[in-house]
Amino acid sequence: MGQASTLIETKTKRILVDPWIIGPCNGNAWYTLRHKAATKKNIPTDVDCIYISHEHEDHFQKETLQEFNKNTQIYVCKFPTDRFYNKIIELGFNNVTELSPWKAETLSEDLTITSIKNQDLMFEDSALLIQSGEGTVFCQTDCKMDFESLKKVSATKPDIGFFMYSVANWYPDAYNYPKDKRDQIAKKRKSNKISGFVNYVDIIKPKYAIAYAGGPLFPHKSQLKLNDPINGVFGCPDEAKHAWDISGKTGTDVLVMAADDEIGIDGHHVKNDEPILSTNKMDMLNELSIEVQDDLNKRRKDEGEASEKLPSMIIDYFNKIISENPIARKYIDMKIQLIAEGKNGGEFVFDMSKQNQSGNFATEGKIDNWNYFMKIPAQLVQKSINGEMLWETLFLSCRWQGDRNPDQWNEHFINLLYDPDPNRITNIYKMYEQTH
Amino acid sequence: MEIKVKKEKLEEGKLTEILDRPKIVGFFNGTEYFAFSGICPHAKWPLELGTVDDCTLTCAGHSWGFNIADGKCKTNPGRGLKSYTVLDDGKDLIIREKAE
Repeated sequence: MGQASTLIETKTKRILVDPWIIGPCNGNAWYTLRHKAATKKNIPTDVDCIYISHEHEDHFQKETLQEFNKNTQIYVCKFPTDRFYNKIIELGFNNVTELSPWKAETLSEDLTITSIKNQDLMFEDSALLIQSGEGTVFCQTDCKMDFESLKKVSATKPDIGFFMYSVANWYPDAYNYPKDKRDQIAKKRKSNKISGFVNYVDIIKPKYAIAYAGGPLFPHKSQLKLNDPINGVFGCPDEAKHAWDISGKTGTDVLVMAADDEIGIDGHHVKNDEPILSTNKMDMLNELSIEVQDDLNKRRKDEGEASEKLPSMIIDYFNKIISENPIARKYIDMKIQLIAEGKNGGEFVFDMSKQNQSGNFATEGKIDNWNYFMKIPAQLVQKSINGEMLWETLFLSCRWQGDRNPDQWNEHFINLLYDPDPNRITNIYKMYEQTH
Repeated sequence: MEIKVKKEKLEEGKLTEILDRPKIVGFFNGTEYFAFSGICPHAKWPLELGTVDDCTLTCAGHSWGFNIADGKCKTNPGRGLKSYTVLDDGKDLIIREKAE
């Protein structure tokens, strides 16, 4: 139904996975791969249950979820923390069940669903296996799965598998690279991700595989260049199919499905829409962009302004999360420059270097020797400080500019921002230090 | 730990498992031999499924990249592979743990 949103119908139940169907997500930036924006009529509100794989907005989108009855049965994976479960409860849903990983939940006489948790210490995500007398369907969502789990899924001999095929991230587009280097990184990342798709399909070997949960569309006029099918990092499903077809691997038919298309367990494909491919992406994007531009502009305007208190809130917030998590600082070991751009913004320095024992971690000001640089609209910083928007969601919006020195990923920094709860951080590093 | 492997076991340009426990993968680039732990620290994918370009091994699962000479992770610093010393005695390869 778009991105990872998948409706699975058996003889007895209708299961909806990761419903993001209407509106944008990730900071009013992302749209699903449709040439015409979906409306509320596209939302199958009469489902028996919903499975939500994880917290990212392209899988857990409030605007779509608000259309469902609050008694709808929601399933999520049992993660190490309750943060995701609590977020669903906060939306008013009162029938939320956590599924222990790899423990099948019986929905009816011959129908089970099994949640498969990722093995990453820092970021919570999951996939879903649906098994019925009619057949077996695997939904990877965008879960980065461990090899043993893939083999276990393969042993169930899925008829249909849905697999992620594209980067869905801010790297390299948010960073300040010369064009040549950016293009080189983007090309390699895109190619690696498509290879990952081929490898997942080859290991699980369903009869039919569908490339999904891939790159979004960025229809706002300020972000159109992100959609470039040649130099962009975000792929299209035909590229994944092509990679499979030329790989020489056999045993699976890879299909390209458009949002709203249907596939039977026997592979019968009913085409209800025109898919967005690398060849027609820009034409379709331009149509979508015209269609949603006013709405997107209104949504961005409705984000409002940052509070006059934002500067002091930023200082308090970062002093708190850094001082409470010395173990994270040991691994982050960076100096960070934040520019909150716009009204009530400012310039801020976060000293997360491991030798800083002063307790004065966050200050106003500017430095030249930063390791990580972020220039972010002040109203979006405000939302993340308030807890209304995950920092990751903000980053995924690509509505900011960054830079790195040295130019390398720092998972520890992103992990701290993801959820700075000291108990979570302490538990993670206990495990991390046992294995590294 | 020291193990001996026939040189012909390592085909040029092909990642090859040379020991299963502990899992060690080897690579011959046409000039030099390399050996390193064979499981990706990210999601435990077997590294012989990956690819090598220049000195970088890319894991088949989620594209983590490692320097085949020293095992260092290029994409997630600090999450590297154990790297082994490889000695070529003309017929066999002697693979040893590196001195601390």
